[in-house]
Amino acid sequence: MTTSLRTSPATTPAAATTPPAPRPAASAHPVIRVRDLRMAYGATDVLHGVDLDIHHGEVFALLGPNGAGKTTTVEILEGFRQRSGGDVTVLGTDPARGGDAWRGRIGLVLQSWRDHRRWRVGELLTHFATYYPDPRDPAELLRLVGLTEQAGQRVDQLSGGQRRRLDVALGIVGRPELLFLDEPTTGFDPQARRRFHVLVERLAREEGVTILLTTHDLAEAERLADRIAMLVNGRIRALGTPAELARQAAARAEVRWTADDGTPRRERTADPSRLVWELHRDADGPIAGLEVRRPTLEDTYLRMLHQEGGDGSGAGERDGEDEDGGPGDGSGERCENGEERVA
Amino acid sequence: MRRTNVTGEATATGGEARTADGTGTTGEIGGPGRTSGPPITPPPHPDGPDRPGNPDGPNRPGEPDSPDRPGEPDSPGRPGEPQHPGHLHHRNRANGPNRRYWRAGFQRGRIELGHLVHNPKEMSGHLINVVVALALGGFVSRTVPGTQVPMTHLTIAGFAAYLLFQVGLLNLPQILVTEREEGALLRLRATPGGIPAYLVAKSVLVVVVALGTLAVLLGSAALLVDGPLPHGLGGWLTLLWVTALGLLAVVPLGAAIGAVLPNPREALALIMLPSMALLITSGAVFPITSLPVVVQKVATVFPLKWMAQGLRSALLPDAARAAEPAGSWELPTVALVLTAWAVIGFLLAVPLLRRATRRESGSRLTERHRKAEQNGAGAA
Repeated sequence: MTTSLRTSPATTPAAATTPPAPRPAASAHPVIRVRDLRMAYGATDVLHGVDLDIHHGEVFALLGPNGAGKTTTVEILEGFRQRSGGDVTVLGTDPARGGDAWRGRIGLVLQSWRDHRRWRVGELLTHFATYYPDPRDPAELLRLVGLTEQAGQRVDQLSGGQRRRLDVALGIVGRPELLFLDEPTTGFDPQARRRFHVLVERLAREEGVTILLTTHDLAEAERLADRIAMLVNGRIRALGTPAELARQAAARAEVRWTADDGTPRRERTADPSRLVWELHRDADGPIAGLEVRRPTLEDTYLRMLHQEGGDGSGAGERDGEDEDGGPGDGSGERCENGEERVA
Repeated sequence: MRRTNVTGEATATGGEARTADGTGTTGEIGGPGRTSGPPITPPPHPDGPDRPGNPDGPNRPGEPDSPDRPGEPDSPGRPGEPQHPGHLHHRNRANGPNRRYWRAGFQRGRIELGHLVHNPKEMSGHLINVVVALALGGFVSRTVPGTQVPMTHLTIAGFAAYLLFQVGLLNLPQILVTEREEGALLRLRATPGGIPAYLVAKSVLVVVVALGTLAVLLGSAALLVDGPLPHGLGGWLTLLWVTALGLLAVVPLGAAIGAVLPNPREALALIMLPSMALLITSGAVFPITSLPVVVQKVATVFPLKWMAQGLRSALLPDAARAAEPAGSWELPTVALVLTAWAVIGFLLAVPLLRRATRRESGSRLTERHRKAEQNGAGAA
């Protein structure tokens, strides 16, 4: 799966199973290793053979729309869900059999925790520190997440962003080697989001915590992640560093113009310059509404979602010709309207 | 550091060793020099405030992968982890974490008790029963039929039994359901030793609340309405074992109920009615002999009748036996029935709690919160 839309051979010289992580910390023993992970609920397949390697100190974003299988994947990795098939090791252990020592090396930040409302912030953090052999200092931790002033407050008096930062503090109080962040900034205002990003970067860069982040916010993934995997309909459709993915995406530019009869046209091409030249030649003059767009990673992402959503694309316009063999994969990447997202 | 304090004998994994360990830790909670006390203001780290992982930080990034951390010092004795050899750590496996978890459990219980005491609403919820019992006890003026024993004594003894019953079967399930819904159970599941500590904490909470309300009830009744107190050492001993066995009969059962009930609001409705019915039919507040025989028979199945009967035997003079259906206190039967319920409760609670915990996951939590919000009952 992972090889389909992956980075070009030039950037991954080694075997596809061990792509080099951007930082030198990469080693032969990934923190998370997933092979052919499958999950079925009843007759419905949710994951169709996912492969992943996440390395020490890496920030890895699992990106995908709701229902793509993100949550299922992560919950299997967290040891909260039994998989239907495939091999999974997290920190050297099968999560389905992870004991307390294993748990102690993992931190968890979920989006829907509303627990311990009556506890005081400092009290709660100090309490959870007692479960771990070598906890962080709660006061330091409060300062790290910017909640020192709230230490004496009740948890249910915190704002949403403060609450989430407290969750992060609770997630890292045991000095985890691996941290799961589930949609960490949903509902954050921009300032809180930014602070949160700084915190995550600090954890990864300064302390070498491996972080698996799930999000449907591409900008966040681009900002934080060393590598991004796009999970769509239970398959990994793209995997690489943000730069690699962006390069891949930008390689297929979109040219828009208005035809003589006034209808808007668009076409995707690996060689926009040539297309524009041809259009000029055909029109023998200026072209109305000419626009050349290098697609962003986001465009690619949305397109991927759209593609997966069904075959309602390709209606009208002069699109759909993809045989020029862009640098991509030839895996049936089609142009489409791109306007509507699939629910 | 803490691990070095652990004595070798606690390595025995038997329940006794753990209990001994646990009780040993209770006394130490909050003691000076213990890390369990809230060290909110520790000495600042020399490396500056921005390095949260000071003692460890510099090593970690360069540290190779997981296989190189086999000596994770507190690997508990999990048979399924052959990749953690290191015979040096075998000793710590058994007692290091256990000791920590017991301490965490007691600390949690103590903190939750503090929250309870400082919550007027909840406190009044517990005390209202005492007030009702006192009012009723002060109101009745007759004697128990066929005896010289004031009816007040029977009423107070019955309410005492009901208080224990309520703590185990009403309050505990509600707490469990609420905390499950909010995600506390999931967080503890994600924490090493979190679930054992949770159970310890809840036991502490339930026992202290039960004994506390019992003491308040009996004490205030004795002062205000000339209520009953145990006669002699025998009476106190009976009070002790009936209370202990009564709690053992209802607390695991309550935990089992709390594990299966859907949500806090429905939970209350589902438990409230049957327990009120039992309160009336068990002869707790008025002599059971005045009820139809069929009702009496049904009530004998449930623990409340036997808890009340046992407490009457402890609190009422022997002459009051005449009002009992059997003409005696039937203490062996009391012990038998309560033990049976305790066994049933444990047999139900362990798998049901396991199941409830296992089923917890982030997505389930999210789903529940979404539903709650749709119902306009969003907790947040």
